[in-house]
Amino acid sequence: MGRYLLGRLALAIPTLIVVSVVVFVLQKLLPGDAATLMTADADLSAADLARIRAELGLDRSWPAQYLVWMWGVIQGDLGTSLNTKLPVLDVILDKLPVTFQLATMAILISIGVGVPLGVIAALRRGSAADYAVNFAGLSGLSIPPFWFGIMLILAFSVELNWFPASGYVSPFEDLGASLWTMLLPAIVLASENIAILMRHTRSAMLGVLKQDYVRTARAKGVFERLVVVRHALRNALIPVITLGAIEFGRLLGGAVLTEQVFTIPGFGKLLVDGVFTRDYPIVQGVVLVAACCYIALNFLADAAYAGVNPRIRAR
Amino acid sequence: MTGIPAAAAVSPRAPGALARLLRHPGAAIGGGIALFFVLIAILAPVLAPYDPMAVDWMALRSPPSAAHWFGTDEIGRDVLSRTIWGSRASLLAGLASIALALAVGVPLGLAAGYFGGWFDALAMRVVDGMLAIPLLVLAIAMAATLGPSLGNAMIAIGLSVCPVFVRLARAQTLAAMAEEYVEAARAMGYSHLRVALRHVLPNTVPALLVQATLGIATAIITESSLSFLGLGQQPPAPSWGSSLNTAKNFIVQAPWMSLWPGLAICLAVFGFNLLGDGLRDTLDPRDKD
Repeated sequence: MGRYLLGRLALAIPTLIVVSVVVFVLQKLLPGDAATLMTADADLSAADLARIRAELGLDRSWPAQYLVWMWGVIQGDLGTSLNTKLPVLDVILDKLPVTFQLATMAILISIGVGVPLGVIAALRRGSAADYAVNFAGLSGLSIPPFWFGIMLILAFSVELNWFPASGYVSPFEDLGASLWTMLLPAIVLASENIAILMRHTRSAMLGVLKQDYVRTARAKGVFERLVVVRHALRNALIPVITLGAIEFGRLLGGAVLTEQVFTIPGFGKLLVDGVFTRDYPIVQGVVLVAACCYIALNFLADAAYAGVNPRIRAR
Repeated sequence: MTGIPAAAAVSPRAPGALARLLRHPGAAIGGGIALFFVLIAILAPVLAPYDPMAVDWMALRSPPSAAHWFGTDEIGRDVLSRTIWGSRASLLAGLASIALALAVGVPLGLAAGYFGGWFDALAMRVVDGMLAIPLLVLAIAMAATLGPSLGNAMIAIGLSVCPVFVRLARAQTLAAMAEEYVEAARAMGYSHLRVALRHVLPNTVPALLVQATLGIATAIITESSLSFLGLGQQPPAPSWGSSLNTAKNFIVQAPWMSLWPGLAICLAVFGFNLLGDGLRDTLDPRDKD
């Protein structure tokens, strides 16, 4: 298992390098460079600009600049925000817990709703319930999250006045209010994942129910409910839980729209605000951190999968 | 008269596949919805009751009525007409970005699978790296770099979803390479290009067609997301996403402004998803339950 995980870890390094190159190239493709962006307000001569470029190392070749930038990133230096002059990493670490709370609530909702519905659909394959679940699943994949958010605000905040329409309350100030304020956004963020988990649970269950050990258990006369829970569901859940971990990584990125609609001051809103205030170091930092979260969660998913699956553990 | 049997002999499976597709309820309904939106986009000038840009200061945010079935927006433009015209931006973005993703991704995936070696290893690491960045985050970063416009949004979406097609084309190529007829074609001394294009490529088509159809659904949602954020179609040009961006500010006063463009996105995306699932059931025997 150790060798397996080391192999997985070794694969993550080239992936991270590619991500960093993509982020670096995006930065280089921008009109203007860091020197012109930093001094956009000041009226400088060409000689002053050249001097600043030399100070920033912008007169060097792209590969050299990449290595210098990458060396900083490894040490945790993601640059400085052009607007607030704060270190990018600090700004991101400040916003990440907000999105983390949102994504955690969303993944719990996705698993809590998606897995049971997927199991029901698989057990009653071809029934009306199965079709209803499939229809709901496809609908979940088809609703744009920002529009779903607007509709929920219209129904539950404007009409019924049950939830605040926007904002954020820290769980350390008032846990109840924090969870309540975050509930609608978490449902919106979960909508696509409920559908994904539901579809995967259904097909995993159908696969497992065909296995010999399920037939053996039934032949032994084990109660159907025990067959379903102990023999089938436990095995079907392995790939589903792994998927859940990967989906959690995607949720951090998917929170962009949800946070925009509900004006939640998180990681995703930081990205959009960074785009519109032309704060490119922030944009790059968010892309980089989002990818790192995804890669880390993928690795954790692999580790968890290896932990529960003896066939991989033995390697 | 002899032309028809000859054509049938060349591709004996084609009519059967289409017939199976039409008998598949999901594929038929999904295809119908997709066709419906294509027709609306093409016939927009004929179907729209008003000019989508025409401002009517006498009818600001008026609720749905006989004159304006879907109501009017904040400067009195007809929501029905703007929803009809908005289908053009969404469908164009869906089709163009997936065409770009296919044009870039399929040759790369085909070459990676066919030649293997260092090129394959490099291509796969790049694909892994790009897939590690959440689709919308990558699309936002690219669209922001290129500058906000519908054309740039299409490029950003196309390049962001491209890795999926590289990976799929490669996997399908590897599967086809194991087939005996590919080996036979190589043994007969055909050039690499001929074997790759005439013998391997056709076998990647069904899986790519399924993925492309589902990809159109993803691209439509992503385009509307970018336009909603202000990074796609720029106002006042009609688009479902940018209409919703304005409409969310009038959610209390004029909820109908949010309702129709959103329902249009849902239905269009649902149609392409349903069609893609149906295509998978009829074309792709591997994924059967």
